Amino acid sequence: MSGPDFDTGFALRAPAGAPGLDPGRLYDALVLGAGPAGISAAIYLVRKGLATGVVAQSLGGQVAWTAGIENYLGYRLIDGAALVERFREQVAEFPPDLGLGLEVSGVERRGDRFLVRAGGAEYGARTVVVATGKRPRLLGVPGEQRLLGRGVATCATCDAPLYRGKPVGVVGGGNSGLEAALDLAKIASRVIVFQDLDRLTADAVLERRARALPQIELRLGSAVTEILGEERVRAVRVRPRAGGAPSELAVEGVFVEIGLTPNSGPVRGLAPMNARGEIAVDCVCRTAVPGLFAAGDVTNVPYKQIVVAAGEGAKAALSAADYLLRHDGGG
Amino acid sequence: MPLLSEKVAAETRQILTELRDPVRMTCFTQAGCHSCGHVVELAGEVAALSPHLRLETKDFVAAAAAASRLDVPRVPALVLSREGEARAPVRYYGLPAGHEFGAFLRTLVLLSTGRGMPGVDAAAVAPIARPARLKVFVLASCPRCPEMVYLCSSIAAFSPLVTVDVIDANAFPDLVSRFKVGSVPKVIIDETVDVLDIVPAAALIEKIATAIRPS
Repeated sequence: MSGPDFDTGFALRAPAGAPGLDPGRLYDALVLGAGPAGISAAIYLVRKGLATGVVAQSLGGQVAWTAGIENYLGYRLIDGAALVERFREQVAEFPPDLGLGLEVSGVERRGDRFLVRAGGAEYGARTVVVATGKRPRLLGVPGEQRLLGRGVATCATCDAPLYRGKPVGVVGGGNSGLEAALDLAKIASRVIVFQDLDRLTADAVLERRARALPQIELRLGSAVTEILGEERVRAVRVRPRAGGAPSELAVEGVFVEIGLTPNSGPVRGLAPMNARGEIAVDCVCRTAVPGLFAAGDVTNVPYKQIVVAAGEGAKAALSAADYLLRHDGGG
Repeated sequence: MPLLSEKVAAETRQILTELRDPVRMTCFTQAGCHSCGHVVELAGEVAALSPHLRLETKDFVAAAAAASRLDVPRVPALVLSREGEARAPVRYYGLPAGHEFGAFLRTLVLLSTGRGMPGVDAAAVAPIARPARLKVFVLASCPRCPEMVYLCSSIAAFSPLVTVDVIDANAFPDLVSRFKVGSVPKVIIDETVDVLDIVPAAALIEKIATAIRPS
């Protein structure tokens, strides 16, 4: 039997050699977010010799919450936290000024400069790369908000051990939903996946694995319309898509895995967005605002993948560098 | 066989080079406590990696007075304090394994150096005007938990009115049930107010300041 694991990695630990953010400094580029898009952008900007700062809640973004990653180039299978460690090591080679533990509250354009507000301070920059990613989307059904943290959850990687030997539901039949179901199947007594469509939208490899496990039950064409329980989740109410009477299914946990919502709030009113709140960018990550760039999951670029975000971050950085060269002579 | 692999021990030693002032780890155990062994072992291995760490192991029953003085009601407990100070801002209940280990090490650095979460300092915690006890429920598998542990520990390091209990939800199902913990990280302020998931420092400080009721 193997003993417990110990991970010295820490999302708020700045890479060795990275100085802190300086409110008195005018940055060539400020990167908002430190997921794969933000980290990639920062590395490119520092390598260009530009004065670069990064403002982020933590290092790694959604990657840090991901269990096994099988489709990031160079790794057959890597744990999300381990990939973030690799990111940290690479940032240490090209350290920007780093402000972790900070939430960006607003971005304002003043003349040809930007003012970024975060953690009670203000930071100035000639260009800004928004790479703030996304956060889990909720269902918006009765009972969900009230029971959040009391059986309603959005992170199977985090919370699965709390449901040992218990029946749970997973809402969503995409990649996130089936990955959560596969995680939970190792611990829960029964995992019911609710998908409102009549088919799954997950990758075939995940569907194959899920169908092979007897403890996973796939309920296609089933919409969860209410989460029931007083102090803890006790059941979900499910309506068949084809019609008929709703039914109640006893579960003690409900994992909502129906996609993500963009963290675009800090630039709302500044940069145009689509109906989903994603920042509109062109093919080189420019927004409609000169000097404001965006990359990764927070943008309208389709296919929210780690490898795509990293590539978009690089593009945004190169565009920002090009912008500075044309407008400021390179800072 | 040690709990920490050679690689993790080397990384730990490197992180602990940041320690400046001595930090005391007081470990409470009890006969018959199955999970206590790992906590004692881990504390010993970590303490051996820095001259700035002082480790003391006490039996919960035999040293009941010390447990009471440090406000430790259960085992295994690992109480962290600055050497020479009576106040213990942070208590770990259960083994700080998995992702929690990184936050545990950073908490040692925080107590030793006074450098904590950005945005948390004496001025930031000034609105907290009455004593508050934070319970942070975590799991070793939770990559989001260390941020909240570090934030709460930083607040407790700067505010003499705040203490933090970091509770491994796997080790204390009775507390999970009592506080209706269905996801982590979950912070309970004074057994009355729930804070779910990760929140910014200023928001948590405000919640603590407003949650505390006059005694």
